[in-house]
Amino acid sequence: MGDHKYKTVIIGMGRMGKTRYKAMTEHGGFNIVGLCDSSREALNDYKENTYTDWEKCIDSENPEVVVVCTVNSVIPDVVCYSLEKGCHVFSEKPPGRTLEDAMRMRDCSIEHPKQILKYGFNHRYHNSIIEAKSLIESGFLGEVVAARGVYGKAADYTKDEWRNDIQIAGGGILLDQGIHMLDLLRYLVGDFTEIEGFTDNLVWKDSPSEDTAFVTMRTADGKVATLNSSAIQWKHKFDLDIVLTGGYIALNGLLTSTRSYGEERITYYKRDLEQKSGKMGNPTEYTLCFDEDRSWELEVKEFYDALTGKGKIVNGTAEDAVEVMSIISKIYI
Amino acid sequence: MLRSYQYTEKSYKNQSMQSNLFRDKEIEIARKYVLNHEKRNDMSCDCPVCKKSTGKYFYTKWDVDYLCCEECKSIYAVCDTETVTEYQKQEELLKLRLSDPYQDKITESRTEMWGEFLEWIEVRSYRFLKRNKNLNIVDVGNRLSGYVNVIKKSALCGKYDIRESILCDNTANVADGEADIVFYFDQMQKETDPHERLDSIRNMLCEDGILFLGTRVGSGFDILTLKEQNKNIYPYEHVFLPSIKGIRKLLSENGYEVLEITTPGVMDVKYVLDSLDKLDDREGFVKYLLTESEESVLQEFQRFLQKSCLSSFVRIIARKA
Repeated sequence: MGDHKYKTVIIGMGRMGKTRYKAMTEHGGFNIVGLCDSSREALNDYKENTYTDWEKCIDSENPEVVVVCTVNSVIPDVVCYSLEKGCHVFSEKPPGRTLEDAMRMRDCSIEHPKQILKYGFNHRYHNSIIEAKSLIESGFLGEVVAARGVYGKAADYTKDEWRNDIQIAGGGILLDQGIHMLDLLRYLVGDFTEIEGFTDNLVWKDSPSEDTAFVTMRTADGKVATLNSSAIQWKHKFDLDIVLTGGYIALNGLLTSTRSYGEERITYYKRDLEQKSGKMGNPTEYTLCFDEDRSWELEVKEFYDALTGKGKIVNGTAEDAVEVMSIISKIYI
Repeated sequence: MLRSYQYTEKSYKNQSMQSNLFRDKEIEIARKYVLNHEKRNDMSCDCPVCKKSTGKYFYTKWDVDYLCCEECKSIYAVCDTETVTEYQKQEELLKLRLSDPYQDKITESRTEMWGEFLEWIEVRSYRFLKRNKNLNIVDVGNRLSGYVNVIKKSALCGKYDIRESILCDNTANVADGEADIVFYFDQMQKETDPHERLDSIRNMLCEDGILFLGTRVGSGFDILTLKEQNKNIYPYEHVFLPSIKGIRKLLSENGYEVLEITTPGVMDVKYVLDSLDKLDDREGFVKYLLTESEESVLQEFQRFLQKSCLSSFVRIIARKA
């Protein structure tokens, strides 16, 4: 941690606001002075100044950093207002409800080049993803040729919550959760130039938001990736397979506070056509299990290092946000 | 910190680390030495990790007592540093270990394993250093010439420096503070002052340098189950068998951050199976498991040990904190 403590406000104190509050407090480089939520109840347990109007919060506190953890429909307004006020911004995903939202925020960020804008795509900081990226970059298993991701949960679309209101959320499972896997596929495979897919309501027939999405993508140099994003997995599930010219990587599970996605593991093996392992089609596998999740901490650190000039935003850039929303917009047509 | 394990489909039945002929000769030399030297029986030896007399009697082998530290659960022999040093420098032992047949046999049986191991080092070096070519390597205690050659020929190796080895004097190719990686394999078992050793290794490392440490651990299945009946653990070749907890404490107290712990050992089940007739009758469950289970169950049990950090061979990656 550097010396400077950035005067910070958090807009939106739901689950993610609380998570960011904890991570930034533990980091020590942020002096959280104001919190805002449309619900007074969400602010009860905090000693900081509290607000129910986000503009008033920013105007009154005059912060250096604004952390945006609001519902999707409000994100673009808060992000752009903050950038225009000269604040650095850390915003939760998704970057708004539409590609236009993401582009608006990207353009605003370009107009304010002294301000840092980072989005919270925290999956990139999970240990299994860091390991997979390192393995791919090392060239040990050859070149990536294909990947397939499955990200699912059990969602009740009849519940009265903002995620089920398409006017607020902007989409269903693909925008809410599948966006993480799309970001990872871009991160690990590359930029996709061909995108096909569709969404469906396989179970929640009356919902305006999709409960299922299937996406197939190809990069300009022929790498292929697929995604199944599902709200009807009926349990939490995270699987990502990566096929390389000389081996294979499998990511299974994701370490979360509830451990509901199971143990986080990465397994890799080299192609073994000579059967050195002694068994056909069953090469020696190396598996890494992870017993801690530092994703929130590492994400905040990258943001802080960019603020202090020690580093730059590599993950969750405004361009990343536009690219991933561009994919989603093609599926939502 | 990462906890990781290696899962292999190779059957434990086919695993072998060393020629029985040479292993038996080494054991015989050690036994002769131990029996011909006076033993300490004062039980006041300090735990090499905790530096306190927190050990309780664990077992006796060849009249040498082994204690288990109440605090860190490491196992250690009641002995003096001078005795252990003298044992290691015995002419008969050195002559055997430096002989061509000994070196050739080990090279023949382990070359494939060394290759796989260096691939693992390459992968982990890239992960933690972001570089894995032409590294400055210091190898502490390596006594296998075939292994030295494999390391030197690998893309991993730039400058290579061997220290504390019976193969040659320190080569001093890599100055202190310039090692990208330090190998410290199968040496901790001989240490009476592991703090001093880890401190000196820390000085060898460059700013972001990493230590690869491998050793038998006292918290492993075959060591805790077989105690004095373990053919492969004997005085004064093994005077210190740290527990996982003990190693973590050692590293932390000597300025390291543990990045990864693996117990990829594949021999625990085989070692206990080989000495089944010598097992204490109180080991009812273990006896039942090993005599009545099918090979697939035992394979799965070995995998469980690997995964749970309960195998008796550990690999640790640590860097300067």
